[in-house]
Amino acid sequence: MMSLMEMICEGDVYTIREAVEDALTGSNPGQVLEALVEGLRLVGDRFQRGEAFLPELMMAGETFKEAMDVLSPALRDRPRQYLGKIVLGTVRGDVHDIGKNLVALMLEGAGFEVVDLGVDVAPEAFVRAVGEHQPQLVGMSALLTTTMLQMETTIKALEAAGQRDSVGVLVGGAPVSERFAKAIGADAYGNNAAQAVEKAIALLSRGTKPPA
Amino acid sequence: MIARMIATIVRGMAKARLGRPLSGNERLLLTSLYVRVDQVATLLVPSNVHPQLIDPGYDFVRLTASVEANLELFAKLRARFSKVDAAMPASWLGLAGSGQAEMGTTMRITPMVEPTPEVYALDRHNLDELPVPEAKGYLRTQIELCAEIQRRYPEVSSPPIILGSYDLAFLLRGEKLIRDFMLHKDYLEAPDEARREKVRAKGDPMLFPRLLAFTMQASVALGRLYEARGVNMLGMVIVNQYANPPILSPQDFIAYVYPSVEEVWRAFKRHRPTAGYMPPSPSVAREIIRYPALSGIACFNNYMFPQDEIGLTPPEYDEEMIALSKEIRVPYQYLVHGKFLRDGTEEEIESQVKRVCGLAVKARAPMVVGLAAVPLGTVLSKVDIVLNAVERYGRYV
Repeated sequence: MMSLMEMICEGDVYTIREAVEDALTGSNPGQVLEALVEGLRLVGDRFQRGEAFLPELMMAGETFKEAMDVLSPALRDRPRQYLGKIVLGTVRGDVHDIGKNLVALMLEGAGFEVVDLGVDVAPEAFVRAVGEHQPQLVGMSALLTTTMLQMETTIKALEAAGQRDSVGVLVGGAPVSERFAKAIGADAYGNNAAQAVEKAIALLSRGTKPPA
Repeated sequence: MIARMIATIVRGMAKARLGRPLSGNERLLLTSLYVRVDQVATLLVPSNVHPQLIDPGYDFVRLTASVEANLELFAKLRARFSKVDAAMPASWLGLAGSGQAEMGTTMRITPMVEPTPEVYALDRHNLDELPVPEAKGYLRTQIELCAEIQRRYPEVSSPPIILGSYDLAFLLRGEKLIRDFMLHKDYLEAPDEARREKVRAKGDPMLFPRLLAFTMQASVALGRLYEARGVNMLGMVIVNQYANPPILSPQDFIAYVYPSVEEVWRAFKRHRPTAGYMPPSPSVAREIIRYPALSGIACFNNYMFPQDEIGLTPPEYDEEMIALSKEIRVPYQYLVHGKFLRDGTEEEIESQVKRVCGLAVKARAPMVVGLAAVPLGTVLSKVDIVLNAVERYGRYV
């Protein structure tokens, strides 16, 4: 019998619901959540080390979501650890979302509230979302060397809207580099989904707007 | 065309023996045959150079619509980088010219961003409704362009590059293909009927193999369209870059995808293509070379090696790849990655090229240094730095 942590790690989306229901009869919801999050963290670490691949990561994500469907009602009175809020999107002109979805999943697992704007997100849409949701962080993803240039345009739009000082900006995606991130005025760069979470947590602790 | 190529090889070998300077094409051809010549060869793939860097008058809308526009831009690129040994394939259609658009996938074509799938064919149609590709639309433009480049530049190696079964499936299905794959794998590995039933409840576990069987036929059909147009198929490459890590593990690729890749490979008996599967490490390179369709030059590079934060692949891998290249007599292609070229300083770029050329020279191993991409924002003189560094540090004699 696999543990909940192993079931997330193995992407056992087929039986996770029953397993979470069983677990809730013997453990408190907080312990169940911890096991699920640990599974997600483990598979993320394996991915970072090149020991797991995209299918495993995606199935782990789907399994985690199924598990949370069952667990969420039980957690209602026991709020999860809340780290902060991030507005996330793939920049204008770019319709790739695998990487962005993985980052969203890992951030949620770590305790962030993620406002996912989807793909092909215009700078003004990021600005609107920051105004509406008041996040501590903005995350931008791009897969193409041509679309990554929109990250700088978006940062300038945040500046023009007077929002730049209130949010930390995190960027990532295959063509993006640490140097590029610095050159465009981003606050952090994540080389992969797991690192994006680390950088997001570090940005919060560095003193961007405190969690609401 | 083949006769001309053989003549180029013979002439090049004679020049190499007499110590006379080789033309770029002679150098690249001989290097690809694992003949050590005067220096490390250089390769530039035009489609990976953003058109606006060469001439702002060219964009992806224009280039996907016109054979002539691609030919004009190719001529400009050759003039700008006359020092590069070879430049191929000479096309800026990218994914638009691969055939899936004619099978139902809608492409997004905008001036500045390379063509990208927007709506996948299988989001709108069932698999049994999809047609096998015909020579029309972007695909026809791509085939015509390949034929025309071969006619105008017979000395340049410009083989057709076709999508393999997995990449074609990806461009018809999108990222849902990854879930299809996992359902299929979990279904096959299920220990009992109860488990299989649970997998079926999540989706069709047999869609993945059915789709791959279809795209395998479609991939062969793509190659046949090039043949029918009279394109020389020598050096043809079958690309399955979506099957590379981190998308699929090498083990899953071999178990679930490779059989269909080999079927396509076997369909072209006269000129065996190379399947472009790029290994994530030298150890995987060593494993895959025993598979007949994966032993060619298109598989033997650092394109998919892990990159650090500035776009450099592990330097220790280069030494292993060069040693392996001597065993299997296939030249290692060291590719300077786009983000390193764009963001690296001139000194850093020269230093990397010097390092890797030094390894090849010391091992007396034929090698190619290429540019994986030249993205917008790159100062073009950095390409010259790469080419000059190869000339300076990559001489065997």
